[in-house]
Amino acid sequence: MNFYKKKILLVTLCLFFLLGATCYVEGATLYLASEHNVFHPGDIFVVSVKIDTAQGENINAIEAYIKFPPSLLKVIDVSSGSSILTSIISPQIDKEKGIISFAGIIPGGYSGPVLGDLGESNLLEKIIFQVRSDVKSVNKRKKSALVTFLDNSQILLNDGKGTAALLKKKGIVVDIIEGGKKSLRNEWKEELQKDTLPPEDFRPYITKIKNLYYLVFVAQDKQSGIDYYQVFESRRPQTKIELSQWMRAQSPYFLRDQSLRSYIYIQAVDKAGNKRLVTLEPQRQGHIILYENYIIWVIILFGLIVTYLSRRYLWKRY
Amino acid sequence: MIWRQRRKMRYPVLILLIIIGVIGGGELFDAPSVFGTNTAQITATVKVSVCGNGVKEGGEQCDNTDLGGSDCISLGYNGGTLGCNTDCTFDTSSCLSGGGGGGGTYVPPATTAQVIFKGLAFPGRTVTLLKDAQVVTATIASSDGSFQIDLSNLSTGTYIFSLYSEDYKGNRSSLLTFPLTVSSGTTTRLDNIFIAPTITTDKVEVKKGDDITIFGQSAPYADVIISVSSGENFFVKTSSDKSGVYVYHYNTSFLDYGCHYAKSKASLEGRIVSSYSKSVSFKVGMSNRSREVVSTSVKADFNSDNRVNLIDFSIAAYWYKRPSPPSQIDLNGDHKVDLVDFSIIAYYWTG
Repeated sequence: MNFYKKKILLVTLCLFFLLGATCYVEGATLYLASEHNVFHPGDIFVVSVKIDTAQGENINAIEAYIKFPPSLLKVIDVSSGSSILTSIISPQIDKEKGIISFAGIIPGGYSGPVLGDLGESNLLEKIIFQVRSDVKSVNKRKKSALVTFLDNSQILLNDGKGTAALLKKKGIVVDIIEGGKKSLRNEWKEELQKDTLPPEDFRPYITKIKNLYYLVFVAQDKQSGIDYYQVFESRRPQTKIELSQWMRAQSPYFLRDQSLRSYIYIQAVDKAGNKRLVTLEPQRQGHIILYENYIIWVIILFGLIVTYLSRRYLWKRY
Repeated sequence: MIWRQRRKMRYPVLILLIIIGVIGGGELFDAPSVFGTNTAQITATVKVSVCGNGVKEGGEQCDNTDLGGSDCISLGYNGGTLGCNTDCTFDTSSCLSGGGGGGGTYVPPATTAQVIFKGLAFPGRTVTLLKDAQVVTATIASSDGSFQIDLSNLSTGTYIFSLYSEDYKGNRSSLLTFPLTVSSGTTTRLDNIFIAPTITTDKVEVKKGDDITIFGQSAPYADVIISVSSGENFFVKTSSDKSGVYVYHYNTSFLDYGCHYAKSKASLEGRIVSSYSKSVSFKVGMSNRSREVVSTSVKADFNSDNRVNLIDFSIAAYWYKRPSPPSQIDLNGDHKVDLVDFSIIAYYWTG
């Protein structure tokens, strides 16, 4: 009898454990993925940061902190190409501590890929790592680099209150070995070579922050991602802008011409160097801009000459 | 002897425990690090079919060589070879009918992708489409609530598409969002989209025991389920009329004093179900106070243009993790602009 009691107790414990485990499955999962997991010193490889949501869960904001061993790996780039996030700020890299962080939102929320969508519709960022060339293995044994999420990473629900979602995190381990290889792997270069398309067309806006005018903009590049933006303000329309005239910019960008009488040129450049140029006409027209227009000056000058000549001709005649 | 038997019996149980432990332990290892108190849930019945992937799916007559078992004869011709156009419709130009066939028209392969959005919204009301959080186009739903938007010239990649509509009172529905990866040369169809209903009430405060009128708009003749919550959920069912308008007079006798929330979702013949609407709050108190003007202004509209979009996002981004942000930017009142404020902006986003 005692034996059966114990057996029932054990089965009950098993069921409790099993149910408990099932309960923990709920929640969104932040995870890292790489096509390969064995590299050599000098190799460049891409790690994708992805998300899976629990069934029925709707999230809308993500902040991720990713730790990597700086003695083994270095970050050479971060790409937002085909990311589902609208970034709040550019990804931050702390090379010394070995931390990459980014934050972004998904307006309207995200509940995972739509049924039938076979694409990679859960990508947040791509981190491009390079294995340090000075990595030496001890006695020809492999070294392992753990890339993982820090505990301050968070995901928020699309509930209008910013409630924290249940979160699971899964990092990756890459192995570094020496020798037995003829050429270096460069996964990122291969991706950049495929990108021949410019960033998508975008629409910038002018807005007031603390009573000053700022330019706001965001462009998308579905291949390699946006590398940087540059802005040029000019009172006159330009057909060509010299390299030295461009100013590197981040949204929101403080406008130098607060009178809003300048043409504003915004160029989005992707990681492969493809460019998309967008122009904003002057927001205010007025006498100042007319005086600055060459054609107006030519007309005035022409008028003065005609008046002068006609008066002189008339004086001579009468 | 008994001890040995018991010991023998323990092995399978221990093995079972180890197996469960491995499964459970694996999960426990990755146990949630942040525990929420609420869940935002979405229900959708949207279906995706990709024209160009070589598999005939819903909404397609064919896809590449997949003709779904059809041939020229099954389509009423005398013979010949049935083909498939790049838009996944039958190419019958090589089918023979009586006197013989004619030459086909060469359709060059597309270099860009196309997405077709098809679904139900509010009759005669505008349906707005957002691509990557920015408005790209809009259309008017027909009198039966159906709408279709064709978006072309897309390059290969992942997009976040969102749709919303405005009801006869100017209230906006919640955003319905679809992440979607498209490939050049393909047409992706999103069928069965059902825009969530709008919802509001005639009063902001209702005297306990009196009726509060909950109303909004959905597709015509839809079954509408209204959920009233305040710790406990109460569900009531009503239907929308020909113009999609639904009205429910809710008696507040059973509700406690205090704040309550109402939201609704619609279904049509049990075929397609919308996600839940936004929540509308009301108070059960000692007196009645009407919701005088239906306010279309929304939270997170920092520049007061009646929209929540990139401009508001950028204003908040300026204050991100900066000291002393203005109170109207600090949406949750914790004296800082952080991810929570951006989550609230994303919730109220209109594009």
